[in-house]
Amino acid sequence: MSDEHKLKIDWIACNGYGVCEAAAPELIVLDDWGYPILPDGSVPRELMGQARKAINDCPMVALSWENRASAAGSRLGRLGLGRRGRG
Amino acid sequence: MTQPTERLLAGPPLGGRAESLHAHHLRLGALPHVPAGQMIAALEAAGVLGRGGAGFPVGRKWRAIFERPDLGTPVIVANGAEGEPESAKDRVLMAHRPHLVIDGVLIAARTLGADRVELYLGREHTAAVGAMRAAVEERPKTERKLLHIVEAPIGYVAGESTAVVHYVNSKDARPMTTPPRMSERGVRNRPTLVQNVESLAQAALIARFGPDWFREAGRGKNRGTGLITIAGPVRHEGVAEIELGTPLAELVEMAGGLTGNPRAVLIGGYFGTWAPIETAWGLALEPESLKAAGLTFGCGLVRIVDDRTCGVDYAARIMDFLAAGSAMQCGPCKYGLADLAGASARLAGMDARATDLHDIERWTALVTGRGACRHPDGAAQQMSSALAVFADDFASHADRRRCLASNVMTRAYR
Repeated sequence: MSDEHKLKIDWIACNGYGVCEAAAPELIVLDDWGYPILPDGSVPRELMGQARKAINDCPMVALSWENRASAAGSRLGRLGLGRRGRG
Repeated sequence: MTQPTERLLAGPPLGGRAESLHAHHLRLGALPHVPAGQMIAALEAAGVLGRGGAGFPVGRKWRAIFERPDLGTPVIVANGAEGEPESAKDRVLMAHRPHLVIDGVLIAARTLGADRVELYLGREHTAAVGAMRAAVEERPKTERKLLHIVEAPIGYVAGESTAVVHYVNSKDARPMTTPPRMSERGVRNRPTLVQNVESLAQAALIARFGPDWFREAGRGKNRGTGLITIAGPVRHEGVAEIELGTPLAELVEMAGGLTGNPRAVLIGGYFGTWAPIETAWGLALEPESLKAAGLTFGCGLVRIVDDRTCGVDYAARIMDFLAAGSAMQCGPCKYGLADLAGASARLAGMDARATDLHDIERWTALVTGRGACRHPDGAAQQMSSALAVFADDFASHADRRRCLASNVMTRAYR
């Protein structure tokens, strides 16, 4: 399973709304400035639902899966947005 | 007395005008034709590392582009932004040996099949920009039509490689999120080699004299020579070319000896690392040895501070500069560096809050690895090493007792 279920953030896109923490409280905590701190390794199987919700809820489309293959299933991929696209 | 090993800076003495194309050709001959595969193999055999700060192997960088002709015609960007405030090596090289840099971009363009070269030059370095402009004009038309000068905006992050490409593309010198890698899609969405001007000048010499010649200089694992900037209590501050692996003690001797009582040294730039002078004195100045000692070669800055300089104050000033130099795109960098600058300024000014020292330690870890570029990482690295090297100073300042530097003029902070 290794790193295929690792989360990543587009730091330029992230605005620190904290929606991801609300969606995935067992995975994501916020730092002193309201920006998410992600788990180091892979998302455990039982928390995959929270991770997917966090990805889908992010208003900035800043959260995604680390590798592109799994990112294709995320909202980022569905919207057909390039990685450089930002609001 | 140790003599400098001059290769990049060989030729007429510094301080005068830029070397003309005629003089450059008389001294070194014309740039030879080297087949692409052979040129890349030569760079790899030489083991030359990038001199912009990250130290990435030059040969590997060229090969990545060379092996992907399917991605389109490449573009070469010579990075001469040199936004590092205390470093002067790139501007000195460009101001005095502009044709060596231009030879470097031409060999890169021929090797990789590029049809366009952007010379990205820090606009505040007026002598360097003037020399490069004049040097381009001296070149024959076939070469001149490849070369485009872009004046880089002033700013620390403007020299970061994705910011360089961003500026060339759309006049916005802020870093971008990767991927895509610049080697795949950079300037005009084409594969782009962004290479520091000193690295390119080294390539121009390797094209002429080969990797074996290159490796004749050097005393440790990393071979060749390198440009460094020495600053602090030495008789002759400025840029020098050293054999990689030269100990700091010899560099100081080359610079005319000490004029003060050294305490610590910052190596590698404002993203670099501090070391106590006792540790650093015998240390070989080359990436590998410095890395083994937990230090960084970076852009080759060697900044010595003496016992009249407050380490807390120096580290705080650097943090203040880097916080202001953030592109303000990524939260942890924008807010984290500002908070680090605020807390360290209060400490330096004997006005610390109870939590400041602890917060600085925590925040340096917290901002690391959490940005589109490595700006927060570099800022944190400088501060962490300052905390270790000036631990007594920080503790004394935190208790608002006294500054340990002699004759210190405590800076008035906002």
